[in-house]
Amino acid sequence: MLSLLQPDVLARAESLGLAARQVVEGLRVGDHRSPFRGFSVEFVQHREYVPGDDIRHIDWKGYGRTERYTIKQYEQETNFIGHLLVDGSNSMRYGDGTQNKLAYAKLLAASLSYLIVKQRDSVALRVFDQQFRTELPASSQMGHVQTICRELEALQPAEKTGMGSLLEQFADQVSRRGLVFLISDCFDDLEPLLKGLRHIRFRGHEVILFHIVHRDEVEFPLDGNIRFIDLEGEEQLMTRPHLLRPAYLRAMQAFLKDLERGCDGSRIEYFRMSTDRPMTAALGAYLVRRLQMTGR
Amino acid sequence: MGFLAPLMLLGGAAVSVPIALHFFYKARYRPLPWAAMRFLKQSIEQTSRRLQFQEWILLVLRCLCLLLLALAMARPSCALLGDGRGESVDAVFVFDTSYSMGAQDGEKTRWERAQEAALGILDHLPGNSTVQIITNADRAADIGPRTPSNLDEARNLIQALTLTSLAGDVLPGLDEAYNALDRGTGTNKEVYLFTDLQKSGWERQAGAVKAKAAEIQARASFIIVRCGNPERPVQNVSIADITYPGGIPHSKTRLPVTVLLRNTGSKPVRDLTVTLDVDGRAREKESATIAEIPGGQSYPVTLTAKLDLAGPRLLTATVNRDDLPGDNRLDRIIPVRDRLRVLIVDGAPDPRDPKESGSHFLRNALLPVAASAVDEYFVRVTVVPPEEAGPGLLGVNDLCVLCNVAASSQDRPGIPGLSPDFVAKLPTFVQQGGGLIIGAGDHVIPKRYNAILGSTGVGILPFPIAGIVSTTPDKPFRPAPDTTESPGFISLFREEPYSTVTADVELFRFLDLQEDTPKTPQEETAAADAPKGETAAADAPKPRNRVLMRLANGKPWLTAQTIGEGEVVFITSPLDATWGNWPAKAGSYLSFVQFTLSHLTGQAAVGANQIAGRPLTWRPTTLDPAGYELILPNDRREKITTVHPGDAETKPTVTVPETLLAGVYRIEALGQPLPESPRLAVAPDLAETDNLDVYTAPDVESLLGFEPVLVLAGDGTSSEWATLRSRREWTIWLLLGLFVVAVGESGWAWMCGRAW
Repeated sequence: MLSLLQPDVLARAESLGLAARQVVEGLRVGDHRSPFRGFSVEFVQHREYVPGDDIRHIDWKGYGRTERYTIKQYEQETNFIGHLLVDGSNSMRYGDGTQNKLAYAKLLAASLSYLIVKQRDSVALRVFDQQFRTELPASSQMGHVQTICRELEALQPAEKTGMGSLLEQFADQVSRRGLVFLISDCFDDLEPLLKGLRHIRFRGHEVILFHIVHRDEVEFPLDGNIRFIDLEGEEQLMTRPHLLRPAYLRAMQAFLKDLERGCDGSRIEYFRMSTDRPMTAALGAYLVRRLQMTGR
Repeated sequence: MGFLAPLMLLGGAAVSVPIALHFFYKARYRPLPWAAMRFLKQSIEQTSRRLQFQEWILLVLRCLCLLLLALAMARPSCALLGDGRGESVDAVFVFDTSYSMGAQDGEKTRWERAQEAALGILDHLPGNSTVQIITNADRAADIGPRTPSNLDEARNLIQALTLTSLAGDVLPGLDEAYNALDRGTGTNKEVYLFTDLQKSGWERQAGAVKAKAAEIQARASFIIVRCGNPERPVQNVSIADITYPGGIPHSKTRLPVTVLLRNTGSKPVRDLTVTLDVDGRAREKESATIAEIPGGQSYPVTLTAKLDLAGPRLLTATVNRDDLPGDNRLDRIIPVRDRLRVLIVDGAPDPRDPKESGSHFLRNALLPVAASAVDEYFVRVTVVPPEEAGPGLLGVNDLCVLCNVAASSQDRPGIPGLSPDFVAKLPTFVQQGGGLIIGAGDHVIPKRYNAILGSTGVGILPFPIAGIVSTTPDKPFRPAPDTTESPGFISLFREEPYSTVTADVELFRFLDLQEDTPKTPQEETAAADAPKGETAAADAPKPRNRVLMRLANGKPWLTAQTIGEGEVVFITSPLDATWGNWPAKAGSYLSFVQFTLSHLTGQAAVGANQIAGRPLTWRPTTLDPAGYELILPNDRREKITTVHPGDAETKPTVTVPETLLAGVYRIEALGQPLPESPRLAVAPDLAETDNLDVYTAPDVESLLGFEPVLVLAGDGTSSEWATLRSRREWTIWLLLGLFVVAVGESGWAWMCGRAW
C-alpha cells in the first residue's frame, strides 16, 4: 500500500463511508441519489401529465382512481464522481513533518480517493496552483487510486495560489454534477475564491471545502525576533511577532469568519482541518458530521 | 553652565548604541518561511504606526538615559562656563586690605577671618587648581604666586599678607580680578572677594562696580566672603588731625598742640587716653583722658609738645586701642625753627606818624612781647620800603609781607613800587616753602597788580582784581566769620570769641576779586594730561586758590593760593587802618596774623606729611650717586628707583610712588646712612573710617543687580563652601532624572512588551 494510504485512516473512513449529501447524476446504479427520475425503483412523487410526457410513465392505476393523468416519478440511485482539487501552491509548504500542510492535504486527498473508489464511485484529481498542473480523469478502478497516490507523492509545491479563475474554469469544464472536494489553505483573495466556489455550486456540484490550516497560522504563537519570508514571493518582514499577535489574530479570525460565512451562504460545506489534528480523527469527524447531515 | 568633569561628556556618544541597534541591528532575526503573509502584513499595517511610536518613545527614553548618565558623570555646575576640560578651578582671591579689615568685632579680627577662610578654601580646591592673589584697597595689585598652580606658595603669600592704611574701593580689585580671569587656562573659574562689605568702599564707584561684577559673574562664579560680624557694631575713635593753631613751632619751647579725635562709630566711646610724644621720646610724652565722646562727634584735645631742637620734628599722637587700630595713631612732621624771619615791605611808611603805617600794626602783631624782650623773641621782623626790597632779602627770610605796596614804580609817579627783580623772585620764594602775605591799600592799582603779580604776570595772586569797591561810613562792609573756610588754618574764626570780634570789623573800601576766572587753555591741557598719580597728589583737601573768609555781601575778603610748597595769602583790605578799623580789632587782627604766621611757616613741612596712598617726595640738595632706599614703618627696606636729578632751576627729587602704610618713612642713601635721614610722615586715609556702616546681603544684591554667593567667613567657611560647591552641581538632580527616566523606560517597555 502506498504511504499516503494509511490503514488506520482508511479503516475509520471506510466504516463511515462517504455519502453524497445532494443528488448527483451517475451512469451506474450506486449508493447515491440521481436527479433523473421516472424509471427507477424508488417512487418519489406524482405530477400532472403535460403534453410531451412519455405516456409510458402515466400512472394508469391512479387514473383509474382519480380519472386524472398523472405521471409517476422515481428516484434513481446512481454512482458519483468525486473531484479532488488539491492546492499545490507554495503556501502549502508551511509546517514540518506530518504537520506540513501539503502533506496533510495529500493524505486527505489519497484517503478520500480511496474511500470514493471503494464505494464504487469515480474519483478525479486536479492539482493546481495558479493553474491546473495535474489532471487525472475520473475512474472508479482501484488502480486509479494508486495512480492518484503516485501523483500526489510526486507533487512538489510551486507558484502562488490563484484559485478564483481556476474554479471558474473548472465549473465551465465539468458539466456532470458531482462532489467537488477543494483541499487548500485558501490563502488567496477571498472574493474570487468564493465566486469560483459559487459558480461550481451553481453548476449543481456539491462542494466541500477542506480548509487546511497550520496551528501557527491560526494561533500565531510565535515569539522572538523573526524574519518572515514569504513562501509565495520575495518579500521579507522582520518583526517581533508577539507584538503583532493581537492584530494578526484579528485579521486571521476575520478571514476565517468571512470564508466560513461565504461558504455557508453558498451552501458550500466548509470543514477546517488543522494539521496538528491527526487525519484519522479529523476525517472521521468530518464523515460523522456528514452522516448526521444526510440523515442516513 | 560648565562641567567639572567634561571628559565624561564623551560618554554621551553612547546614545549611538541604541540608535544603531534601532536602525541597523538585524542579525538576531530568525528566518521563518511563512505562508500567511497577507495577514502578517495586514497586522503590521494596522500596528506599525503604534509600534513605531512605541519604538521611538523607547529609543528616546533609552538615549535620554544614556545622555543623563553622561551628563551626571560630567558633573555640570550652574555658574561655570563653557566646556571645561577638568574639574580643576582657576581661583582668584581678592583681599580687601583697607585698614577697616583690621577691626575686631568678635574673638578674631576681620582680617584673621579672611585669611583663615582663604586658607580653608585653598585647602578645599580640587586638584590641579590654580590661584591668583590680588590685594585691593583703593588700588589693586596682583601679588602672585608666580606659578598659579603652586598652592603652597599661595598659602605662604596669604599668611604673609598685611593690611594697608588705605581706604577701600572695590572697583580696582574687581578690575584686576577680571583681568586675572584671562590669565587662567581653564574654564572653571571662581572669584573670591574677602571683604568686610564696608559701605564706603562699595559706594565710591557704585555704577562701575555693578558693571564689573556683572562681567565677572558672566565668566566665573563670584563669591563674596564676608569677613566680619554684621551683628556687632565697631567702636572706633580716629585721630583726625594734629594742629598747633596758637603757636609757631620754635625750639626750646613747649608748643600747644590740638589733637582732634573723632568717634566714627554710632555709639559713645568712654575712657579714652590720648598721648602725644615728640620724636618718639616716651619719657616726655603727654597724655590726657577723655571721659566720653558721643557717637559721630569730634573732640579736640589740647596737649603740649616739648620742642628742644630746631629742624623737622615728629609729633606722634596715639589713642588707646579700640576695635579698629588702623587710625589710632597719627604722625606729623613739623618744622621747628630757632628763628623766624619776617620781611615787611611797607609801601606807605609814614615817617611823621609811624604808628599809622601797616608795618607798625604788623610788627606789633608779629611780636606780641614786651619791648625789652623783642630781641630775645624767636621772630625777627625786618621792615623795608619798596625801593629797598631786593631779591636777596627773600633768601634770608621765611615770610614776606607786602603791605600796601605798588606793583611797580611806574604805577604812580613818585610812589615807589616793587623792583622787577624782587617780583621775579617772589614765585620761587613761595614755591620753595616761603609764605607771602599781600595786603591792599591805596597804592594797589588793580590793573597793575593783575598785570605784574596776577596770572598774566608772575601768577601769585589767588584771583584777579576786578576793581575797588567803596561805601559810606554809615554803611560799612563787614566780614562774615560764618563763611570762614573749614577746615582751615583760620577755622577758629567761626567760633567765639573770634567770630564776634571779627564781625565787628568795619571796612569802607575793599578790592573786588573776580572769582569765576575761566581757566587758560594751558591750564585745561595740563589738567587733562595730568597722570593719575599727580591727580591723586593734587587731590588735596584745599583747592589751589580759595576764599578763606568773605564779607557779609559775599565778596571775598581773605583769600589764599598754594604755590609749590608755599602759600600766598591775599587780603582785599589793607593791613593798616586806612580802609577800615581791622587793626584796631586786636582780637581779630592779631589772631589772624598769628594763625597765618603759624600756618605759613608750617608750609615748609607740607611735603613731609602725606596721606597713605599718595606719593612722597623729598628734595635733597645734591643727589647721592649710590642711590637711596626707603625704610618703611614696618622697618622693611626698599630701593627707591624714581630719582630725578633736577636741573639748573629745580632741585633733585626722590619720589616714593606710593605709600601703603601709615607711619614714619625714612630715606637713606644706599650703603652710607645720612647724618640725619629725612623723615616723612604718612597718615591713614581717614575716608575709610568716616562711615563704618557695612552692607547687608540685600544691599549687595541691590547694588550689584544680582544675588551673589555670599559666605560668612568663620570656622565653617571651608566646609560651607564645599557644600556650596556641591550644591551648584546638578549631578544629584541629573541622577534623580536618570532614575525617573529609567523607571519610565522600564514601565513603557513592559507595557509595550519590549523589555530589554
